Amino acid sequence: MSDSEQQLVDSLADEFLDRLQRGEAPTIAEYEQAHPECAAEIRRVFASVQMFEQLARRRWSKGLSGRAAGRPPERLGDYRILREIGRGGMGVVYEAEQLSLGRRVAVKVLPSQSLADAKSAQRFAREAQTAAKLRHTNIVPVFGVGEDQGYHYFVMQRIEGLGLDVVLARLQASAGEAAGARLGSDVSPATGRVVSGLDELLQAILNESTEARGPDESEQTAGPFTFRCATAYWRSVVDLGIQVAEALQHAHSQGILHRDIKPANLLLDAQGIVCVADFGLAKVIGGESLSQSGDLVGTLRYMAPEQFSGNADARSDVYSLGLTLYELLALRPAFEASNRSELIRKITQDDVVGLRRVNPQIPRDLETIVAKATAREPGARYQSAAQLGSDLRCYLEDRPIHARRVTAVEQLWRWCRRNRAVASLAAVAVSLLALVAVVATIGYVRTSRANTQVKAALAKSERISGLSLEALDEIFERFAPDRSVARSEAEPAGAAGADARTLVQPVLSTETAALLEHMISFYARLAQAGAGDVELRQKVADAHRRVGDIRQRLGQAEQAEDAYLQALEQYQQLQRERPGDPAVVCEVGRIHNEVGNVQWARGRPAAAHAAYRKALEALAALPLEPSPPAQFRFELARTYYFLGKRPGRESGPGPPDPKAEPDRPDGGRPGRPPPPPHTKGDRPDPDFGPETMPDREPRDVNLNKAIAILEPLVGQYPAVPEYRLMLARCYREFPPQEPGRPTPSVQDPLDKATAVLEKLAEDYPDVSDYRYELSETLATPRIQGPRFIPADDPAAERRLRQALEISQELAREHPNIPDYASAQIHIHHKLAHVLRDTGRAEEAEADLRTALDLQTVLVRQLRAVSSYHVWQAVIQESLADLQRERGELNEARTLLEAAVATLRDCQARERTSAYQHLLVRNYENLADVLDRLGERELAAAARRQAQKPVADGNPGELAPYR
Amino acid sequence: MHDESDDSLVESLRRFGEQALAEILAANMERLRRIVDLRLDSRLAGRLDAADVVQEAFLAARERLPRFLREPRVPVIVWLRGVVLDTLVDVHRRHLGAKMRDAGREVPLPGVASPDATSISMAACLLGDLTSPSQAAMREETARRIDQVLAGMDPIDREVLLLRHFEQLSNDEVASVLGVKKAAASRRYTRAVTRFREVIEAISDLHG
Repeated sequence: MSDSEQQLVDSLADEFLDRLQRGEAPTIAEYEQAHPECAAEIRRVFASVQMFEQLARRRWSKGLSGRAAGRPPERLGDYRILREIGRGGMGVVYEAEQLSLGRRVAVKVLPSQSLADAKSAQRFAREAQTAAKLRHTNIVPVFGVGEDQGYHYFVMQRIEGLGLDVVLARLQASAGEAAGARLGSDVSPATGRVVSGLDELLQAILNESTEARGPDESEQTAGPFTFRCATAYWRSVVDLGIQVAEALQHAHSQGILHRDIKPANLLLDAQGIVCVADFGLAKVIGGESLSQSGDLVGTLRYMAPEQFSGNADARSDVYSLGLTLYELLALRPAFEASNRSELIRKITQDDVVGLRRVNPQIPRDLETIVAKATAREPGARYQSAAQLGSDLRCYLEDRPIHARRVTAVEQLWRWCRRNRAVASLAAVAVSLLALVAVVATIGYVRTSRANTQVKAALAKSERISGLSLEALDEIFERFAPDRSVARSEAEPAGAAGADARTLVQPVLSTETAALLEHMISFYARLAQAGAGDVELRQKVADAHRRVGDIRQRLGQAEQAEDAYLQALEQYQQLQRERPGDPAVVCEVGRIHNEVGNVQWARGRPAAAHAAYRKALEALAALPLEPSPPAQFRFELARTYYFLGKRPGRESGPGPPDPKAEPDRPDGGRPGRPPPPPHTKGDRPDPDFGPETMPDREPRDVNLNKAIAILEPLVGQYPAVPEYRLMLARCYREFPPQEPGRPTPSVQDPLDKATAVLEKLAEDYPDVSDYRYELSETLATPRIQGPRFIPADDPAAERRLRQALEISQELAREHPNIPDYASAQIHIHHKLAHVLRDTGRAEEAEADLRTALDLQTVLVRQLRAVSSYHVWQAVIQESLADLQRERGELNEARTLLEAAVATLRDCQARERTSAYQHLLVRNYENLADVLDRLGERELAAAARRQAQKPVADGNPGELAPYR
Repeated sequence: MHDESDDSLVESLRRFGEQALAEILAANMERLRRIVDLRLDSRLAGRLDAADVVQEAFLAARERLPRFLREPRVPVIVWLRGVVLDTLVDVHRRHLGAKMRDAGREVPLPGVASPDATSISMAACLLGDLTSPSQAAMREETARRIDQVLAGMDPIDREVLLLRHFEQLSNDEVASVLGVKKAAASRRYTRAVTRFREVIEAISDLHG
């Protein structure tokens, strides 16, 4: 054999071993065939390599399964041992026959070393006897305890089912095998048996193991399982959680803790009933014996953090159940570690990763419930199993759950407790206190991410130990995020991907705005210190603008306008110093637009248009050639969009755009009033006629200009969500089929808008605005006019229901953003009309009542917003109309009287007659109802009111007939 | 040593420092733990977990990172391995300090210290999971034979087997650890592995 041949074999052997270690299965034969000249040497060397690798591998792939199996006793007291049915940290379980009664039972034989001394044996007997008193459908009945031939054992009812650990292993294997096909996503028949719930899955596993003769083989047989739909699976997990929570609650009420809730201790039978086994055992057989049994990791994994310091109470069981549910939902353990110390460190120090980060399809409420159950601090968990059970039940019944998402205050507080040293250091600097205050007050949602960011911000400020500009920037960016344009602009076409996708929307509150305003003074002081520093002054201006954004979003129009005007002044000053700076020009245009949006939201479209025009003028200062920056083009498109907006129609609550609820009824004179519930052809509403905008340029022209800019922009920067959103809004603004007008220049604009938004909402599931926009678009009638016409638009109901679902979710997640609540109400209202028009009065009534209830809550919360009052009147009118039709005259009368009172009150308070047309209609309807009730005099009074030019009631006087 | 994947590791260490270090460490956790498992003195086995040693090594690596990055002479994984071994020496000194000095011996690091220390733990590793009584007897016998074989081998050959099969280093990395050319490392490995089998088979034949 030559040297070169030898070298060849050496390098082939390297490759062979590398492949073996990568998990491939290379054969010696293939190498022999490829290099016949060295076949003999290859065989000799490779066989050695293979042998050694096999020896080496045996050691490392060894799992816990190889534990020595003690020989089972043949008989224990009254019980004849039949066969082993399971084993775990707490001993081995056998199926046995109770000779005296001739019944089958399960006997658990404890590890021999666990009860070495008489004292602990007594303790065991006592605990087991206490546990034996527990009687509950979901607790495995304990018949008794005994000792024989040195074995301690206890006897339980034999459950025809499987431990959830086995079920989980199957599920995880299935999820792995069905490569790519996620749980519940489109199921191709090839991926295995389809089941719809856990009970069915269990049945299938059980059948399979009987077919395969013997439970030992069950894990190797048959293919994976797939659930018919993910929701059904989640619901069956929740159902299981409720059962276990009830069992725990029962035991806790008897003063018995479980201490070792984990999948292996939960036995599921084919009826879907789950039984908790081994109550109280962990207390007796804790510590040493457990660690010797080798099942340590399996047991530790579900242990609550406080249990490591020897404390346990009912909330520890809640925690363990929470982790079990987590694993069932995520199909992977909440904490994974290869050894004890790492696992303990993770449990005691790390937060559980949010379920939706593992699988974004998991419903938010479910994530919230599990997060609360598994909070590291016992005080932050459900305080009892009953509370957990009740929230799970709420989820199952689609009622609002009680758990809240963890707020930043709690986050920070918990973080400080865990990192006392750093936290106290951090508190030293006064400026840091301000930072902490900001961070602490803002309800920032995403747990772990926020955590690291807060840490990073604090660490940074600590290092600089002074007023840190960087930290300020960071805080501002976090809590008043700019639209993602600026950030992603440097990375066209897809590059921004990963980071932008985790974009998370902060939750805003009035406190946020106030604190950020306070923060501005820091900027301002810095700017003063740095006198001529343009960059700092720009930051001050920018900060004002961001505060304006927040105020606007919160519906605080006046404060928003103040902030914008300050920002504008500062930017204009900068512009004078640096004419032609595209960034400054762009900002000036942008702020004009925002001022316009504020005016628009306040029902002053003329002023709004003036502002939009100013934006256009400002932007015109920059030449369009050569190709201007993307941000500039975007601002221009936005301006055209605003100029092309339909009167009375608002776009979402998101930062660049107007924040009022859609279809607001108090749009002022030219604004569109709420969709009149029964504008039949004979009573056209003048306000729905031709546009009464100050600027009469057809809206299409402006929208087409905007689209002409946006379409290439979206193509160029597909990773910038704002561009896509704006494009969708432009499509949506197009007047669809309008009778008597030429064919619209864009075909099916609403479908286009829906498609863009669906993709956007899917790409960024955490940005609520995209879902909001989607819901709004779905709820927009396809046929021009104020309302859906089911006869012409058969898919209307389906779209509305879809929209409703989204808006309900949003309203639940963000209870303090009124736009979301409003949107939900309006969709109920629209849906009610569709239902009514298709002859389903009862369903319509239910929706209207829901709408009215929700609106009443909104009015109570935000008394100052008169559009909410007006909307209340509108819903009352709709409901009254329906009841009138169905002959429920008394209720119709009450509702109409209330509506009239509300409207008069609003007009008087605002010194306006904007709602007169609504008032007149309500009076007319009321007169009709009164007539039919025989109240002729009152009817006549109502008619007189209907004919009065303007209501003249005073604010306090609500009597409707005066 | 200039393979691209290592360049990118060095690059990410330069850019992201400690964070990248933690990631690399996590990705190679299993290997690094084996390094410790193979060498941890049996007197410490109950008290110390391999993961604890690796954890400590991480802290040391963090300190030494800037120096390494100034002039990376070996692949990152080889460097990390060195840090782990150093840490292991420290750990042994700390826990067994007096005894070690008394005995006048160093930590059983292959190639450095007594040959049997390594081979014993290798034999234990190779036979770790045979558990039944008859297997246990066989295991004892086999372990003795493997020990014999390993003990009789050239220390560097033994080290190559260990690096290649237990630490799962690539041939390039082995070359870097031993400070020899790749082809030489390759040659050494093939020779060691065939020799091991020949001897084992010869002994088996003898003992029937």
